[in-house]
Amino acid sequence: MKYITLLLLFSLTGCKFPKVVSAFYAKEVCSCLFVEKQTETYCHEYGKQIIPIWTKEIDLKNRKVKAWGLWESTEASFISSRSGCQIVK
Amino acid sequence: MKTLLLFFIIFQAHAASHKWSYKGPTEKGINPQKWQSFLKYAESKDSGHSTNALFIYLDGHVIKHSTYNGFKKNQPHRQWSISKSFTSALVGIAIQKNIITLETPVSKFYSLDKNTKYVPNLKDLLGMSSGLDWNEGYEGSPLKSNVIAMLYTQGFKDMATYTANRPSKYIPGEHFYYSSGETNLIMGMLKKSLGIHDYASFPWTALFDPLEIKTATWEKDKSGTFVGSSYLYMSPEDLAKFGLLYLNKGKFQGKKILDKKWVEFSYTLAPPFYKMKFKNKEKVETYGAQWWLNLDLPNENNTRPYPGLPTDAYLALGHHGQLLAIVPSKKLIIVRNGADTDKKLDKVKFFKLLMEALP
Repeated sequence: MKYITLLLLFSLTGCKFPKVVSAFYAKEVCSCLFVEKQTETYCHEYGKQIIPIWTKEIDLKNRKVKAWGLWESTEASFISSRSGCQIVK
Repeated sequence: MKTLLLFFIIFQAHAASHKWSYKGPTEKGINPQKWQSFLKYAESKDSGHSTNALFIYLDGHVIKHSTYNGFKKNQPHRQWSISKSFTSALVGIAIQKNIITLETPVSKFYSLDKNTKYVPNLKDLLGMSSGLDWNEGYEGSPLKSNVIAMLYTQGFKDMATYTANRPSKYIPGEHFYYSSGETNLIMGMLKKSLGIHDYASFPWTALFDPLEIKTATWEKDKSGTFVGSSYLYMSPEDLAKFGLLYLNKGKFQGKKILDKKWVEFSYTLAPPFYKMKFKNKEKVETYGAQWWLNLDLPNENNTRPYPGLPTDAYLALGHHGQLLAIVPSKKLIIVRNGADTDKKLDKVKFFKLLMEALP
């Protein structure tokens, strides 16, 4: 029920906030893993927010992090050692 | 002859590389009990904060270089808003090279909101006084936050353009409001001044390579602009090299990288602080050119944020407890990296305990 209320609220106000949940996790966990070279446990803790993500996909081989939350998904990818990670979609 | 030449080249390269000199706290005349009190607070997890690294340099010697929580000494650490002070250094170098001036208006490179009455310039942006409407809230106000929208939703593709399109609220140069958007607008102006090719390597050619910073990563938005506000990573030791550059008034290993005048400008109180009226004058955080200051407000006493630190201290501060403090009168550089996601480090206490221990 609380998610339906939130969805209605975000739809009516045109608020882009739902995207933040997956975007923050994908981008910051990508940087944490592939730039800072921290452990997956540490990075998952670091990426936690008040509203939790629903699910995630961490591709260690291709250095990508995809997250889902509040009906939105975001993918962040490691670009290079100088340029780190970036939200790609 | 060839061997001699090779030896000479190797010797020169070796002589040029920077090496820190280490001394124990007692050798530097530090009070052992007070030093332990400082470390107990800084290193302990009991207070709720989480320190990943400490690097302290005092008058020619490193007196503390430790890492915690499994973090390694040469590991890059996210510096969050410490990035802003690096952005300032790059602007200083670009000005030295006559690439841009403090008077360059934002409108030379970016269209402002159509209803904007005023055009801020680079100097206004450096002093966080563009007058563009902004909300710098993080976790506390995610729905209203412009910084969150810039980094993760409406603005992430082109953060400078997102900021330039904000409506104007104040006359430029008259009202201080700390805005990550303004730093990214600076970075956007730098990109358009330099051209995308030179710009992409500029932080390395102008700053990181001369400082022998080897662990730097600086993330960009999708338009190719470095996220000057937030996304710089480097090891605590490399961050201390940047501090040493400023402590030595723009020189590193005897070589000039920044004009002394730029370093002095960096810690000069920004113009709006002479014009604004503050309701609560206690612990007002003053600001220079992308550096936090520890000055009292003009014509006031004891309003500075860190009473334990001398008034000539200036600081680069980042989210989750990142800090670089430079105290010229003590020849002191303090680096602290952390991950204070639950409870913040009490910086007032941290600096007070440290300064009480120093000679």
